[in-house]
Amino acid sequence: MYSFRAIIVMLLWSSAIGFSLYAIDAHIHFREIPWSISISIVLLLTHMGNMFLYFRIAGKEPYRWFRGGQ
Amino acid sequence: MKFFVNTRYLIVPIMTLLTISGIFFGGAYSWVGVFLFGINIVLDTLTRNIHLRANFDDSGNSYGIKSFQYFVMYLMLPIFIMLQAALAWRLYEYTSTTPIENSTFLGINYQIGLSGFDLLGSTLSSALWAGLGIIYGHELSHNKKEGFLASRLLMALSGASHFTYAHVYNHHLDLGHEDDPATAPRGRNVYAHAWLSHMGQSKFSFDLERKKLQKNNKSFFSYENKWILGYVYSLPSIILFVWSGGFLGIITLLIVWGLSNFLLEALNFMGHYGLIRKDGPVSHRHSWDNDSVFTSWFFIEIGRQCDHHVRGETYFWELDDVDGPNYGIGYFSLFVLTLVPSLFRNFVSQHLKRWDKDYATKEEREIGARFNSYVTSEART
Repeated sequence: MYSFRAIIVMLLWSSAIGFSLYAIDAHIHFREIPWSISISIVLLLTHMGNMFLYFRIAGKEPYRWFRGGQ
Repeated sequence: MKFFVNTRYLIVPIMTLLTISGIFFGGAYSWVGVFLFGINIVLDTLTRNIHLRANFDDSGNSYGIKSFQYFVMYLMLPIFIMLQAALAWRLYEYTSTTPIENSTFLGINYQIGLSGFDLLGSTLSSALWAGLGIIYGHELSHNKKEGFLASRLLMALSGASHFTYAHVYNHHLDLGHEDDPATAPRGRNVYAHAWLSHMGQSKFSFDLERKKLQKNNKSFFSYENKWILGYVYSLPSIILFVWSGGFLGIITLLIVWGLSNFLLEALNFMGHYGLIRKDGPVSHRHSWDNDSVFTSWFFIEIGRQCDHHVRGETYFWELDDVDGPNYGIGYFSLFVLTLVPSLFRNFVSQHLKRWDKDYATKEEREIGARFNSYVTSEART
């Protein structure tokens, strides 16, 4: 359940970034080197942000073998 | 014997080069990597009953040549960079709508431009072999010197540089316990495990760095943060795919990263599924061996998990059968079973029963029994 909640937030965060990139025409300028580097840095930060969101929202719950721990 | 022992581990380098050649030649050859993966499943299944021991001379010395094996392992880094570069080149052609025509390079015929179907073949071929190549990232992670960095860079090609730290300092120390995200508990399927194990290992690396930097009174956003650095190592791959394919490049890279990490986590899944360790040191009984001949040679003995987890610093060519729990079949065959969770659970249940009876301690057996009833009741609800 915690995983599911985290994945929803990750999808929203990724969609927001994706939409922002689209809004500034990143899909048109990606062949220009400064653009491709900038887009890549934004995507990497988005990915790292996704990981962080998952760690914070899901916590240790998905890794418990039993309710209440081992 | 020395020649044979050292060259039998060259299956992956040779097949990876064939996959790169296939992507270069284009057309139907784009699918060579997928075809080879299928062939390997057949070969592994046909040779599942052949199990060999490690080879030593009369004085007990291994025939393995350390300098040669390390040379090959380091060589895999530029080979896997070539694999990504070949795919990016094809992606560039596709997104530039390069017309499909034949050409020659140094007298060799190849196809310029490619169809969407062939791009799919190139992508799947690259993803599968990037995933299989992760075995070198694993092996080098156990090297404390420059091999560790090579492992980080190899894993970064699949966006999984955190693996190197998590594998050595989490998986090997917490094996068989819920603190190890790479140990799959009974009842979990390979798909859920791939996600949880990947995220859990990254979380381990994240927490490790956070605590270390906090202790040293340094900001989390430091160049010393190995978790951040690991992702930065992946930046060249991202730039390459964004530049060559734009949005399609991002989708392609996601497929390569997703599939290669899925294969990595499938190995973790198969290596320890359902095994339990209650306190005490890691023993042979806390891993499953997959040591049929093709698996042993292809996966550079990674299937000798029982020995590997007790002697983590031992070179792969010296790992041996230690009479631990054994599935009796190779990784490729077992991998196919894991893809159908009900089939895998049926197959593994007899092995788990035997493990509970012959290998588990009293405490481990109690947790196993709790698991068995828990899994059954969870399945009912």
